[in-house]
Amino acid sequence: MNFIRTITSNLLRGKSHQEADDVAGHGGDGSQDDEVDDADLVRMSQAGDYKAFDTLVNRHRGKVYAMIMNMVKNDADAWDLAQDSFIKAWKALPKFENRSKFSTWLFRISHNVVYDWMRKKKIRSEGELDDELLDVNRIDMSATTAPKLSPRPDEALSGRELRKEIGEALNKLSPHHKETILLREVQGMDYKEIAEVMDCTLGTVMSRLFYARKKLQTLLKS
Amino acid sequence: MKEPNKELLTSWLDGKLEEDELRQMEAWAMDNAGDLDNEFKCDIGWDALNDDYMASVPKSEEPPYPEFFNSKLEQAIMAEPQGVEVSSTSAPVSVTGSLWQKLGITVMPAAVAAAVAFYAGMQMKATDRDASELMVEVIYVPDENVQAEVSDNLEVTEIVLDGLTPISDDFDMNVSSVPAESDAGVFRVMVSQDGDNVFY
Repeated sequence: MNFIRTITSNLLRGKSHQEADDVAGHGGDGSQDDEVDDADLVRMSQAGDYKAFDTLVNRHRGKVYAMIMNMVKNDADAWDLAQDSFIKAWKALPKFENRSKFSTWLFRISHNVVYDWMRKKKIRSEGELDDELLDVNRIDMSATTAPKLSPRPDEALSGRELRKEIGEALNKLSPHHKETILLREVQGMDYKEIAEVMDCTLGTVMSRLFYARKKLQTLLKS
Repeated sequence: MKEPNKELLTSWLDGKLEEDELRQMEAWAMDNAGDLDNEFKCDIGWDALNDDYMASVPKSEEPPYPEFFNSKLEQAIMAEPQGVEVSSTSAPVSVTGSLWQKLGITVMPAAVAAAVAFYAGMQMKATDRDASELMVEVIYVPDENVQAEVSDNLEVTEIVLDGLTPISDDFDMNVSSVPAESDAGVFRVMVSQDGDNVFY
């Protein structure tokens, strides 16, 4: 069946698909995907080439998911929110002008998706967003949607402990402070990119970074 | 702008700067953000251990079932009203484009007919189900050495299976009936084991 589907797909695919294959290296060595830069894939996606968009998804899926996961601390929600982010990205692609990096733009979209979700969740719970909701100690670890706290097998014990401690400390920060420090320290974004993602001034970014670090430091020391 | 003093920096961090001051400060910070951040780190005593903590948070983590993630995404995008026209319609006129048109002409009527037939079939099937409450959940394939005998009369169809292994208590077999309009009124299964007949 897959064979027939492949033949049919190859037969019916348009020129831009072929172009994406040629550029992105589909059907050949998968590692060539890394050689095509995002701007080319974006251009092909904007022309309606879903295959090119799929390559972008493969490339950025992990980072978007990890970022959302670090924000919401629930793998099922993070999965859905990452899906929403990519769907919104696809729909908004015609408006993307390549003035910023695709990854920055994508993080901006996922930022909006996560904050919309938090707002709705807050409304549903009819109260303030309670940091305790994200406290790992309050989560039933046997639940099917329990946060993924188990480390990779190759992680050293000390790494595991560090991550547990930092995870708990991060959860005590406000969403804005947590996001700023994650974008800077984990995603390695520069300050201007963070300002773009969070739609704020550079001063706000620096301020959030400063206070987030200060609070984190206190939490980790205690 | 020359390097701002502590007071100005604090006002900036606290969001208290007004238009011109803020603009100047932002422009200066744009070129000096890295140095400034390092300075702030020193101020609060941010050390290497804290960097280690942050480094333990994964930068990238594949979502569970990544391939399913992509296929679900594609499905959702194709079901949405499209922001980007897919290549089949937006690609420049080409050999493949005309093939699409040719296929569209030839395949479309057949596809429409198939869809109508499928829909009609689904409707009939649903009606039958409503009428008969007939639910066939499992098609049972007997083991070797099982003898099957079917006897049919006006009232009952009997299927006798001889040599089956015991059916466990948790096996849920629904009693089903055929449509009332049918000639046969009752459907029964008789299982024979070690000479003892059991009717289901």
